[in-house]
Amino acid sequence: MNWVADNIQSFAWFWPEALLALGSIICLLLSAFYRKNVHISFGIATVTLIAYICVGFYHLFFCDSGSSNLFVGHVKLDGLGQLLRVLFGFLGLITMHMGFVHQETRKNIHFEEIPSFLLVITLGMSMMAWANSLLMVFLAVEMVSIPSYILVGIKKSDRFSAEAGIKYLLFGAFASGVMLFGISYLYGIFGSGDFSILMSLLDSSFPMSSMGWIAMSLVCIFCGVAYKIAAFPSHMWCPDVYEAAPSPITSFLSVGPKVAGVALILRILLLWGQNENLSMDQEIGQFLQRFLIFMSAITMTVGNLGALGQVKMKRLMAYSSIAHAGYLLMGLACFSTQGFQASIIYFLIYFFMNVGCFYIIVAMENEYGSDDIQHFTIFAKHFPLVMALMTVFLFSLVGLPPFAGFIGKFYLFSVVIEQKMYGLAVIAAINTAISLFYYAKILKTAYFSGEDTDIQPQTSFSWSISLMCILMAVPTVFLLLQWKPLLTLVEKASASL
Amino acid sequence: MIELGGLHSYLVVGAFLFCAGMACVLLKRNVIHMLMGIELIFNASAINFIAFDHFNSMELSGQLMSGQVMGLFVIVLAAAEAAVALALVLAMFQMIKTPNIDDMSKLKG
Amino acid sequence: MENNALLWIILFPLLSSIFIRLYGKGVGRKAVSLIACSSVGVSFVLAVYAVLAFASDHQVQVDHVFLWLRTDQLHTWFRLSLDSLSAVMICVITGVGTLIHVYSTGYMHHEKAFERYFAYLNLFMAMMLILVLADNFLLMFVGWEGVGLCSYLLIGFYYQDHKNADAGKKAFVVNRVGDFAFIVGLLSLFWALGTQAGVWSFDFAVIRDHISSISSVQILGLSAFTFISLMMFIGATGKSAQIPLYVWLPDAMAGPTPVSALIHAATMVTSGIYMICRLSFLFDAAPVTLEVISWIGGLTALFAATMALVQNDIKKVLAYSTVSQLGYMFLACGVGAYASGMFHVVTHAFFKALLFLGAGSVIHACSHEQDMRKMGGLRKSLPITFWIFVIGTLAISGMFPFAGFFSKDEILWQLWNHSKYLWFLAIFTAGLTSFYMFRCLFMTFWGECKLDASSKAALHESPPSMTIPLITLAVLSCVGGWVWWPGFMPLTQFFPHWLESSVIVRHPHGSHFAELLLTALSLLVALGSASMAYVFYVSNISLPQKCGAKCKALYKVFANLYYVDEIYEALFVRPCKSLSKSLSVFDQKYVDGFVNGMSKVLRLVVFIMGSIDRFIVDGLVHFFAYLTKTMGIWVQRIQNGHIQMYLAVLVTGVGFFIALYLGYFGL
Repeated sequence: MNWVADNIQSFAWFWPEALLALGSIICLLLSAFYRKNVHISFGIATVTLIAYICVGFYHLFFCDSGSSNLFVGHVKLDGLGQLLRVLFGFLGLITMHMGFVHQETRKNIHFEEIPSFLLVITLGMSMMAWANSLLMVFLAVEMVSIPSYILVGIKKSDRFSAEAGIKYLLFGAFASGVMLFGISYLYGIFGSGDFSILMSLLDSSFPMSSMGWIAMSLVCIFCGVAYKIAAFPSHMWCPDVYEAAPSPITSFLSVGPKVAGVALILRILLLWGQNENLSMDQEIGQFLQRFLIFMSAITMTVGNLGALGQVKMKRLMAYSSIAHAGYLLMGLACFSTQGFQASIIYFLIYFFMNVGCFYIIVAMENEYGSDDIQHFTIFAKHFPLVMALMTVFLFSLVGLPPFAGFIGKFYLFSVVIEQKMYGLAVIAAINTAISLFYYAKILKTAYFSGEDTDIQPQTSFSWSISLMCILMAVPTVFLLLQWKPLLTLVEKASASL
Repeated sequence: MIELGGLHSYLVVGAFLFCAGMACVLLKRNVIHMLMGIELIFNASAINFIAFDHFNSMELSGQLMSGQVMGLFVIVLAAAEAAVALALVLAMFQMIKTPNIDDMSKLKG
Repeated sequence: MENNALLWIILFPLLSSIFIRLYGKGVGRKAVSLIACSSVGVSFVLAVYAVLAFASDHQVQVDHVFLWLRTDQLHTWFRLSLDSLSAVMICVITGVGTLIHVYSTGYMHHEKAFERYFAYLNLFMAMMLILVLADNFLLMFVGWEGVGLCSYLLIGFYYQDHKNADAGKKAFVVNRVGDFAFIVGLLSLFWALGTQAGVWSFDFAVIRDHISSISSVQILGLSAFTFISLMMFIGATGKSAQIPLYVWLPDAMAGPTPVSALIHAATMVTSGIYMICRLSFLFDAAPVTLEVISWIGGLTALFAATMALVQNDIKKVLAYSTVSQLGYMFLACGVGAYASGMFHVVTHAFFKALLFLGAGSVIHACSHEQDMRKMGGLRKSLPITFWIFVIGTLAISGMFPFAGFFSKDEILWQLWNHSKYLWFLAIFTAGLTSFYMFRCLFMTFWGECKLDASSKAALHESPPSMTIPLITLAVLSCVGGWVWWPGFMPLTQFFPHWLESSVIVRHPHGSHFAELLLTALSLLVALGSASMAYVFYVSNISLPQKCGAKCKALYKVFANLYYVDEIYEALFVRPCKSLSKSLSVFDQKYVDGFVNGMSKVLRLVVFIMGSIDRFIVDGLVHFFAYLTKTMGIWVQRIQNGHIQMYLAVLVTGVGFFIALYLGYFGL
């Protein structure tokens, strides 16, 4: 019966997440019965998230880092988990704010249902980051996926949004099915889903004849999780879904599940990476590294090449996020603590850059009703300062100094080269060069087109958007100068890995 | 020696169901049929879980996660997914009046 | 002993020169004169101080300024050193220099380029001081060239008149020839010392210590000593206007008179003598060179004196007189009497500067009339000028007790003990000197005034700024010789004792009686010549005409300066000019033609490279861009909107990775 006591004790750590679940249910009920009043549910969601963030901060900075296995080992709360908790809380808040600010979202969708879904997805993402067993992997992925299917298709009377929702769903369900299949075989071979047990089983010799099956199941699992982060081979949904979903949801999808997915892959890789000697001695470890290298290289290439010919901004951002998934995988492919740290740094910086970009896309849709890249010309004319911030974000996405994206890329490249994966480094460099083209194409359209159209902005620029843009831009710029705190944070986070 | 009714049989059934489900998803024109295929995939995994749980000896596994529990979870989540899927398909159907997947392929490039 | 005043002795005039050149026009004439004169004056005070310091502790004063050249073996410092020889020189240079600066403020009063004049004059002072204070050859050569440059700048001061600019050019080019020989000698010395003794240095002290080690070296068939010293002597002839490189000095009179006084009487032209005395240890080891020096000195003295006899320009007389007196100094050095040569340098500085400044005063008073035939009877109108000119003439003629007497007699005494021929040459020249100087005096100040009416009316004595230096120099010309009395007089022989520490001093053996007799003889000769001049130019004025008519040919040769300039023109200048012309034609036809041809080839090459760049390089770039774009289009085409296609890609991907595993690890 000790597991019952363990479960109850875990709530001492788990209560913020439980709060999230509770908040989600309350918001759902409220939205069902008090349709007219959006603000209450949003208010409750905001309060819940703020509380969540505060607790997260407290745990992150004031409690000593150690890891605790909650719920009999299904979930592990350590430094990385605490860091990501805070990140996801912020992301939730930002998405809600973006939803408020984006006028199309206010009018055209079932706006009152967003808070509850967001809370559940936040909870799911935290669980993805804390996953310590195969069950948790599946459960957390589903917890994130199912509400996001709804969020994508939530626009009323927009066939594209519904189509995107169906595509997302079909793809997601299929990928989860494949992943589950892989999980089932892995469970079957080892007899347990607990990661700690898996680690110890991998330590001693395991039946060599099963290696093929283990490899197959790992491939299935990774391709399933790759769906969450939009990596090859599960990246095809990305452009359609990003294009048709409401912009705040797109922004949320581009950061949240991606970060959570990367953390999840990290957790799985730790089965092999914990003991440095282990990874290279075993064939599975070697295979995994090769697998990740291939996945990363193909993902980057597909993402960057696909973005070259795009005319719509959100679709371009979709391909760009596929490419960034490739870069993140690059760090994970290194199989070393530095590699994991590099990926963590990268996605922390990516959070700022991407959210900033999407804020500007939201603003553009507010003013001109469409996210066509051609509209940047007049956007730059009417709102030059904001366009300057956009320049900051775009260059940071490329990885140019003096912006923070450079730091992220720098770390990634350095760990890749340290591990002597020169081919991957070369491919990544070529891809970065290609990415410069399409980001700069936006700037060229903005600053150098010289066409004059008569479209006038429909509303005045929301001050909160400007504020958020600035807030996002500040770390993007200054993290280059002062990235030490970031580094310490990440090291703290990964210390207990 | 592969014996009938042993672990392998169940695994083969599971694999067969998985492939059938995959074929359904990939080859059918009707969205509902595709959803059925997805259900098949999930259930294939459930069969795997339960088969493994039944046939593996206890000393390997911890008390943590028996395959049966896993099977339950799979069923629950498959159901949740199906519910959401049907809601979305319904919304789409109200707009385009056909369940044909080819009409839901307007987003491209 | 370290004495930092030495650097400041040089720096004051140098900085003042730079300042006046840059800001002279801004600060006004009074300030410029003040700065210029006081800078040299301060240098003089510092020089005296340094000399006193030297005299008190009898140690060479040294001032290490900075390490100039440093290679593996050669360390050359910018280092100034003061020993007894340079002490004499700096006192004379700064002292006489100050007086001439003061004089110039009055003389150049009406001059437009007042500031430029003083800037160059100060620069000259600085360069001359560097020359004498240098303690190694390289630094001395810097000063050597520097004074040459300043001489050029100042001779060609009135460059608006083409002739004056030409005179400056002539001075510079002739000097250059001498400098070439100097460098050849210097480098031979450097090389010989280096290869024989392993000593690579330009320092005088070091060279002196190791000079004996090159006694066995032969250069071009001559012993090293001879060759080196000969080359250096040729350099000295360029600087000090001896045969064959004296031709620039008379033409140098085109410059302002104080310039002639300072540069061409007192200081620059004596740098050759200084150099020989500085290297007395080297010259003493080369008796052949010494012979050459003495004969050239003697011949120059005679030569120039004959030319001075028939000059009508007052400055030209003094110019040739300078060449002649310089010949005396070389004569002295050539017989090994270095101290006597230096002594004559000092006394000559006094009285020649006096004479030049006096001539300047006369010219200034006569409204820039320089022809003596047009002057006359000026002694009433210009009393001060007259009296100082008298003193100067007496000094140069060697009358007791003026300065020239002592130095000239010392030289004659040394000559008597060495070679009677040279002695005869010298005493004959002394007679000529006395004659032409008194001629000059009588023609200028006696008789009727032959000036035109307006100039006569404008006759006035010079202002105090000019007369005070004149008087000072006159006093010096009187007493300047009293530092070295002849042996038969029991008075001080301070000068040679002073110089002993740095120069080889010879005291000839001979009875005092012989010396007394010779002294009396030279005095008689001088007086005789003076009286002859009196006869020719005061009492019987038609006499020169008659003499001239009788020896017309001789007169012509003298008056046309032995046609030396014409000979040089034919021998050297014209061939040089025609060579340069033909070279220029060659350059135009062949060299330029070659360059043009090369440029055509280059254009072809550039065209090829441009094509490569356009087609291959750009083509490559375009190709890659096209490739990327095409691949981008493929990726977009895969995204065809059909979800089943997407799922198919997913399945294919899974299959691909499983195949990857199988490929790597087998079943």
